[in-house]
Amino acid sequence: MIEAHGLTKRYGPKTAVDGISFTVRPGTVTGFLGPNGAGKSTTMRMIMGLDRPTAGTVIVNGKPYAQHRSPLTEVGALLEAKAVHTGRSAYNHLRALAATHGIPTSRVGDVIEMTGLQAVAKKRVGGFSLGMGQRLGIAVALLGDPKTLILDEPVNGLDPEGVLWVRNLAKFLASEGRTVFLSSHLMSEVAQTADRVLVIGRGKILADASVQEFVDGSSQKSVKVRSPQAARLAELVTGDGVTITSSEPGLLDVAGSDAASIGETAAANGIVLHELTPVTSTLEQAYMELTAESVEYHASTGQEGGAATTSPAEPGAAPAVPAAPEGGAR
Amino acid sequence: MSAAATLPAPSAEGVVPASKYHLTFGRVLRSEFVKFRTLRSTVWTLAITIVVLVGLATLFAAIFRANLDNIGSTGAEAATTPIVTGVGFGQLVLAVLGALTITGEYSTGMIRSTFSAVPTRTPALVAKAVVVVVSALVVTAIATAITVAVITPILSGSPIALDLSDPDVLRVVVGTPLYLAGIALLALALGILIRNSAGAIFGVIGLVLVINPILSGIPVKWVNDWAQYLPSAAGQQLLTVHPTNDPAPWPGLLVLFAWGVVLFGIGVFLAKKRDA
Repeated sequence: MIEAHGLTKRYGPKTAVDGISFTVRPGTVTGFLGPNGAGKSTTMRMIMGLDRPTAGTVIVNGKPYAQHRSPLTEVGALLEAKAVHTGRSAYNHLRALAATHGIPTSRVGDVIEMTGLQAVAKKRVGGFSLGMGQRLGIAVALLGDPKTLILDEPVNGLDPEGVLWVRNLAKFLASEGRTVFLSSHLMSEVAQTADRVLVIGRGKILADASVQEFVDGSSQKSVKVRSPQAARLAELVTGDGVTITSSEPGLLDVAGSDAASIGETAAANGIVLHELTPVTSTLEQAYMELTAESVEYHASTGQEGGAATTSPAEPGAAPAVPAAPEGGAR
Repeated sequence: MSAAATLPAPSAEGVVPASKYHLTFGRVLRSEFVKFRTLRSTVWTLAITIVVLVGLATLFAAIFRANLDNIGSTGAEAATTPIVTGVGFGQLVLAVLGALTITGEYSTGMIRSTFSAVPTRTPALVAKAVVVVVSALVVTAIATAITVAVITPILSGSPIALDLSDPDVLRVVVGTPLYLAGIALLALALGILIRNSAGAIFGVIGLVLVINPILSGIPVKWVNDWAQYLPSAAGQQLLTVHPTNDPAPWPGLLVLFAWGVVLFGIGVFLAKKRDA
């Protein structure tokens, strides 16, 4: 259980996390979703007592993290791959951390096996690939068999098999009644792993819902209609709460109505339809729409055309992020 | 929270009942010791310390013995000079060791793992200090014992024989590991404060080797008097057979350790406030 109240972090004039409040409950996988620079890692570091909040509080399993007598059995965290001395072996790194709590070396062997690091455990971490570093980070998180797990971008750098493993591990740990809080900037990842989703953008919580509610609530469903008499059909369908957009002649996107009533209207007026397709927005689209205006770094693709881009694009080198927001044209 | 309280056992064999495993200072100390000896750099640095202390002392003892007529000093003073020469270089090696013990964690990100496991931070830093000081003390004591065993026969039968029954000579021999441990603590403290390897090493070398000659060279008496209480000047009183300045040898050692402890205390205070 993680509870944040008015949690705020400022670095000089820049506000990384802006008075957020949320609760992450046990027995579920909660995805923490947001574009790069949205404040995910900062929030997680504050939960772990590594960064001091400028204002607000956050408690884990009933207490601020630092007040636990046995921090590693309360919370296991993967905060970034390679928070490890590069000159030490994975085995010795785990052994040193285990020693602080009197956790036996047999448990070190267990987590090495669980994360598939047997072959490289005695090698120095400096030579590890991103994926191996990530596995070591997960081994550290599991070391104390903690009640709460905090995983910052756990699938980064993992191969497909590793990604699947992390997903199943997160679900399994939650099914045991543990609290699992994992961040990602990829909606698809969260969709496949999480039960609930907490969306953050520019330091503010944009959504806190179950994955299903999030899709239903934050995006409209629409119907794609193709007809040679599109203009006439548009006139007939238009009404309360219905918006119609058209990106090419003969094609309509109708939001606020459904395929059945559009079809009936067409039939009643003798209008020929070539296509009538209900379009459900995916989680990905819902996320894009929600965060479109809070993306910290916009990549310019030069293709944004008619799409409504409301936030000022920052040209130049930008990390790969969800690029052009989906306009209202779908 | 009842769900969490009745957590089922995980699938892995290493079931961890939460009550049994928790932080204690002894465990944190063991953890820091594991960290200290599982880095090659630490092992190498300690080996180099022994080689430098024993090697330079042996070299100088042999040179002194072969050039008895040209030695400026006499008796006990000359007899301890080889040991003190080794200390001059050995302190630099230990300064690097002390600083890297903590700055290596900051530069690699390890510090976040350390402070996640020991979130109150103070026990981890105090344990580090204990490990650094004790290791420096033990290793330099061994090196000094070897040095005495090697140079005593070289110098015996000459006017500059090393005579441990002379209390001043014994003080220099016993003081060598104590002085070097004090320097290692000072370096660790600066490492905690500065958090950057190059900066911390530069800082400790400046404090130990550079500031003192500069202040001593200024022809103003109160400046010179004050400079005697800088860490290395005060600590090296212990390594001087016939000290003429203040502070006296043993209080001088206390001054050296006071510098280390005060800077360490400031470092811990800041480390608890700062973001890791």
